[in-house]
Amino acid sequence: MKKLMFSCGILVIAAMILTACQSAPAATSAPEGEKQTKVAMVLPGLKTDEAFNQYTYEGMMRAAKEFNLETAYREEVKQDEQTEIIRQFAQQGYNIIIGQGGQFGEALQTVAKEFPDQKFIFSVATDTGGVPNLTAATVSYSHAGYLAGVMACYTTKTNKVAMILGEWYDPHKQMWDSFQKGLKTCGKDIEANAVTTGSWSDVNKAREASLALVADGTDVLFPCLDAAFVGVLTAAQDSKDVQVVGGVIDMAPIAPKVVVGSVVFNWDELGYQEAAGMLVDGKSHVLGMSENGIKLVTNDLLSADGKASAEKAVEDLKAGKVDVAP
Amino acid sequence: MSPDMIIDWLQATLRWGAPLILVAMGEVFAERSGIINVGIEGIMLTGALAGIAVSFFTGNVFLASIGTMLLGALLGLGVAYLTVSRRTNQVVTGLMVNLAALGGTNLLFALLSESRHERVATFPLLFPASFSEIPVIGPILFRQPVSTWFALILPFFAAYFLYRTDWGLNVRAVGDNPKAAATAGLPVIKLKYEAVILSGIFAALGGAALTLSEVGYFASGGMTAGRGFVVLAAVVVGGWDPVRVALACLVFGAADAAQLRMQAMGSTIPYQFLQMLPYVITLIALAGLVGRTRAPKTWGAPYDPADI
Repeated sequence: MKKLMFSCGILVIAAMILTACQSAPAATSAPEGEKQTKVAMVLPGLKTDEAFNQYTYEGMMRAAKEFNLETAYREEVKQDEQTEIIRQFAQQGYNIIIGQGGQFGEALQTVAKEFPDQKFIFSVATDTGGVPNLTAATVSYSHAGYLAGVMACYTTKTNKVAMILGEWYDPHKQMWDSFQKGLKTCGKDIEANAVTTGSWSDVNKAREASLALVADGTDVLFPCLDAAFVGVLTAAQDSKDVQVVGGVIDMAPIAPKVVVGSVVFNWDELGYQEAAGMLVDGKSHVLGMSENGIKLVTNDLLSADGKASAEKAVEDLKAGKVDVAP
Repeated sequence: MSPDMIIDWLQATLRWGAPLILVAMGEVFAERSGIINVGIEGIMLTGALAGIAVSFFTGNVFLASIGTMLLGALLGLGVAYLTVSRRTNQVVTGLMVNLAALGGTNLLFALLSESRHERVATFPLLFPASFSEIPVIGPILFRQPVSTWFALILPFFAAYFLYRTDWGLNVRAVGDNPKAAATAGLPVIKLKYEAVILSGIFAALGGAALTLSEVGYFASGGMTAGRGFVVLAAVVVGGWDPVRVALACLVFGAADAAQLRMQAMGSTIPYQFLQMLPYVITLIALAGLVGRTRAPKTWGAPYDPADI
């Protein structure tokens, strides 16, 4: 019994330490008494992760400077505390509350119904659940996939290309569909494969997946991963004649000798538009090429034809001439 | 499947299994002394970062290995203090180490920002590159870095130490019957400490093998992705015998390398099933073999010298 009590004690202490480590909502102070718009962002990861969490947060801070907003955030929010944290922000009177990530859907719907006068944003999602004060916003995975497909098409010599990802979610399925459409733009008969590793941060597994693809004759890799993407870059660096079309971030500065170009997700822009109150109409928004949600970066490794076609694809997407999901 | 694909798969199996074997060899000794070090996942993650950090600042992978092992010893000492001297619950202690390591590595890696996008020096190949031109065994064996070779030879040394030395006999005695061992005059507490510290050293080294064998990068967000827990299972599947545990690690590596290749070749089997495969095989092995293996008799139980 004593041991059981002791184990329970340890668990309680561990829980207390872990809670204490989490950053408290940090609010910037309001200058000269005017009624400011208050914006809160709830993040699933660290705001220093050099990825999605950090960039959306920075987007909010950019908007805060420009429009004199009062902001608050909470990072590393776990599944079981989502509703409570979002509700706390609502009770504190935040005008716009942003749930940054597909996992916040249910919590946002619950709290948005309780506080009908405040605006909620379900970020990196397309489903508002019909709640009038909940808006969905994301960047266009399908525009990104199409551009990656165009670049891969002009790059492959073995006519075998592959996408490497952690897990299939709906946006990744759209991305895959439009990636395949992009592959049809250069008149080659290309075989496309997709490999899931089950983890967005397992570098070694992303590398192994890439090496397996290379052994099977694939010569263009398109990673759609979090931190694990470096595994794909090293696999390309260590193999002969294998090139990478970067996804999510611009990968050329990290591996200039293998990256032909990247489709960059403008997370910063998403966070900016959300905090600035541009996406609070209760509808579903997808920021594509026209809305500055996706950016194309090409590297010198890409052929002149490839560059011209990728730039033309950007114009076509902007003009709505391409048959892909928004 | 072409012969080339099979050679490539076997090469990947060794590469995939090697870090697991390194971690497992330490864990075998800890568990043989009666202590389950559940914290190996976290220590491995810490080792992965430490290896990258030392290699980045010194450019020397052997210094990186030594630094990583020292850090692992320190973490092992911490686990030993809690589980042996303070007699805390071993599972809870291990989970705390894992959580702390995840948060700690994320934080430290953010501070170490210059090295984030620079590939650091990695372990060299053990044999001259020309050896890898030998048909079949060349690519499988001779294209592997020093760390993989070390992992392949280590189980035999571990078996020797466990079964053929006084120290190994003492560790086994402590795990099976600490009271009898104490009565016979063995330093039970000291032996448990040594075994747990050993598990820390090799868990950290296994982590360094993950980042320094070929990749040369660290990634935040828990890049060990549960390998420590796979090792915990492999130790049980292998019946606490170093060579059989190493084989269990290789089977897991072979299954994972195989499922990635099946996906790469555009298999029509749902990917969820393929991803499950290594774990299913481990589970089947656990269910099929565990009945016939014998755990150390005080496995996971705290030992109180005053309680005789």
